[in-house]
Amino acid sequence: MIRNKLYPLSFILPALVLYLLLFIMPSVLGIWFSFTDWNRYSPDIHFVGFDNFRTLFTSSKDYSGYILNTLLFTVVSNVVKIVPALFLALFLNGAMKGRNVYRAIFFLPAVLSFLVVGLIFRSVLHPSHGLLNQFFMAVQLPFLAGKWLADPTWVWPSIFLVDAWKGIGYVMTIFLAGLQSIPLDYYDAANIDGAGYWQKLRAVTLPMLVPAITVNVVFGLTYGLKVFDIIYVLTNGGPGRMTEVINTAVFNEFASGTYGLGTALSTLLFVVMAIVGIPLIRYMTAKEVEV
Amino acid sequence: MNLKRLAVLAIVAIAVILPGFAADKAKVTLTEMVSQGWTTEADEALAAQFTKETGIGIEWQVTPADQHHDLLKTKLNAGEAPDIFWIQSNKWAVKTEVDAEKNCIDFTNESWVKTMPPAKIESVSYKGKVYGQGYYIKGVSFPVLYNKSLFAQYNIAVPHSYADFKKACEALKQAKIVPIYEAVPAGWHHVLWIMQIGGRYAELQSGVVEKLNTNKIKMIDVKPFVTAVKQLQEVAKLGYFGSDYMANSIDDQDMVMATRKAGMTLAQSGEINKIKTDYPDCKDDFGVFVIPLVDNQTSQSDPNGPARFGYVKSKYQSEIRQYFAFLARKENLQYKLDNTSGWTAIDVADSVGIEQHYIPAEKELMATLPQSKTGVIWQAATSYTNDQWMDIGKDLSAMFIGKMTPEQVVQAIDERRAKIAKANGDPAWK
Repeated sequence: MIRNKLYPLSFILPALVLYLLLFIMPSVLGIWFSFTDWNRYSPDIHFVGFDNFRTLFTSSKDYSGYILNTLLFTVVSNVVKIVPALFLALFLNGAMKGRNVYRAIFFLPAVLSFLVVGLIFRSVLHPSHGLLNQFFMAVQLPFLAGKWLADPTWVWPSIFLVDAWKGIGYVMTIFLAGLQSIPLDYYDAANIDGAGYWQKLRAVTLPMLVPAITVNVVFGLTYGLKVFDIIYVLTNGGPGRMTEVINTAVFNEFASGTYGLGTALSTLLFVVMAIVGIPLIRYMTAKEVEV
Repeated sequence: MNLKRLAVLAIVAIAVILPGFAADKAKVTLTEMVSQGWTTEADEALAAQFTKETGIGIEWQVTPADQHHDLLKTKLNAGEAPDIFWIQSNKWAVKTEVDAEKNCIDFTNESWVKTMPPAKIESVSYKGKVYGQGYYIKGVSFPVLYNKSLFAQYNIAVPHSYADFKKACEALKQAKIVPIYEAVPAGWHHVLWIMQIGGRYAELQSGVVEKLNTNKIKMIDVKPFVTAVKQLQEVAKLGYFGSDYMANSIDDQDMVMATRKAGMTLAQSGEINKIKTDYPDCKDDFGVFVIPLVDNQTSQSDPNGPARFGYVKSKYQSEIRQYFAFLARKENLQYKLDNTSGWTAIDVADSVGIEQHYIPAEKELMATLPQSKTGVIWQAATSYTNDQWMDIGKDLSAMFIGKMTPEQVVQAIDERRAKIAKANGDPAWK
C-alpha cells in the first residue's frame, strides 16, 4: 500500500540529470584534465600521465608544504572555533538578561564578507599604526606589540584568531540549536541523581550534542580543506610563501594559465578531502545518539 | 477611425521608442579594470570629460596591486574580462599575459597609434599588430629617491657604488632614521631593486640578454644578477629597510619621506613634486640617484609600463575605440602630464609636441650619468620575466624571512621562465 503512495522513481530524473551535468561531469572532467598539459597558451591538449602530479611533488615550488599548511589550517582553525563556540553556546543557552543581544553580537562577524574582514584586520594588525599595537603602546605594554601578519612566528596564529573571530558565531549558533533540542527531562533525571555541572555536561549534554558537533566538524573540515578567502585577503600566501594553501596555489596556477597543473592540485585536494572526511564522518555519525 | 487609431499608436510608439534608443546610447558604460596606483585623478578627470562629451560612462574597477595580475588573468581565462583592462605591458606580456590575438581589440589602423614612440608601440604589439595604448613616465626608471637635506645634515655622500650605498644606509640607521622605506606587502615594489638595473647586468656580462632569450644560459648563470639578489638580501638583513618593511604600505611612501621617517625609497623622480604638493610643511630638498646594487651607474630606460587594452568580446568595441582616440588627443596627453603630480615627462612621440616638465633633480642625475651608459630594464630586455613579477616578489619575500636563499630565488625564476616558455611553445625551450 505504501508503495502506491510513493512518487515514481522517474521523478528524480530532472534533478539527477542536473546533478550529473553540473556536478559529477565537471568533477570527472577536472580529474581527466589533471592528466593533461591543458594550458592557456596552446589550443592542443595532450595526455601527459602523472607529469603534473610529479611536478607537484618535485618542483622547487613547495606544493607539499602548501598541502601541509592546508591540513594545519583545517585542524587548528576547527579547534579554535569549535571549543570556544561550545562554551559560548552553553553560556548563552542559560537564563540571562539580554542573551539574544549577545547571540546577535557574536553572530554578526559571520555575515561580513571575507574581503571586508581582511581589509579591517590588515589595518588593525599593522605593526606601526595598527589599532592593536597602538593599544598595547597606549597601555604601556609595548613588549606585546608584534608584526602580526608579517612575522613568520605570528602570521599563522594571527590568521587563526581572525578566522575564529569571524567564524565562532556561526559555529555557536549550530550548537545553540543542538542544545535547545535536548529534552530537559534528561537534566531533571540527572539532577535527581545528584549530578554536578561537569557530570551533566559529560553524560548528557555532549552525547546529545554529537549531531551538532558532527555538523560543525564536517562544515569545519570542508571549510578548512577548501580555505582560500581568509588567506588571500590577509596575507595572499605571505610572508614569502609561508601561508600558501592548496587553493591559493590552484588560483595562482589558473591565473598563470597552467590549467593542467591547477586541476592536478584540485584533484589532490579532492583525494585529501575524501581520505580525511569519509572515515571521520562515518566515525562521528556512528556516535550519534537518537533522541 | 482605424487609421486614426493607427496613427495615434504610431506616434505613441515613436515617442516611447526613440527616447528609449537615446537612453540606451547614453547608458553605455565601459568597465575599466586597473591596478591600484596605475592611474591618478587626471585619468579619472579625463574619463569624466569623455563621458561629458559622448555620454559614454567609464566605470573603474581598481584592484589591489598584489592581486590585479591574477584577477585579470582569471577573468580572461573565464571569458569574462571587463571592456578595458590594464597590464604592465612589454613585447612578451602582450602574448603571455593577455594573449592579445585571442583577447584584445586590434588597434593597428587607429590614427592615434603614432602618438606613441616606437619602443612603446613595440611593447603593446604582437606579430606586428598594435593591441594596446600606453603613455607612461619618461626618464630614468625608478631611481632611488633620497632626502637631500638629511644627507647634508649627516654628511652623507650620494652613493655611486654598493659600498657607498651601505655607508649611507648605516649613517641613517645610526641617526635612528629608517634608511630605505620598503613595502613588501605591495608585492611588486621590492622587485624593482633587482629588475631596474638590467643595463648593468648586460654591461658586466656581454651578450647575456640574447643568450637568455634563446635559452642558451639561465638566469642563475648571470652572475651580476645573482649578486644583486644577494646584495638585496644583505640590505634587508642589515636592517636598512627598517623593522616594518614586511608590513609597510606603499601608500605611506610619500608621508614617511616627507616626515623624515625614512631617508630613501625607490620611486619615480616625479614623486618629489608629489611630496612637495601633498606635504607643504615639508621644507626638505630631494634628489635621485640610480640603484647602486652591483655598483650600477647606468641609466635605465623603461619602454614598458602600464598600458590599456580593449577586450575583443566587449559589446562596445566602437565606444572603446572612441575612448582610446579621445585619450590620445594632444590636449588630453598634455592634461595627463600636467595634472599627474608624480610625473615630470610623458613618453610620447616627439611629433605630438608635448611640453615636458623635467625637474632639477632629474637634470642633475642625467648630468652625472655617462650618456654612453644606458640600458634597458631587465623585465623589458628578457623574455618571460615580467610575467612572473609577483611570483618573484613572493620569493624575495621568502628570502627576506630566511625561507629561500638568493640562489633558490634565481632558480625559481628560471623554472617559471621554462614553464611559461614551454607552454607558449617557444622553440628555444623545446
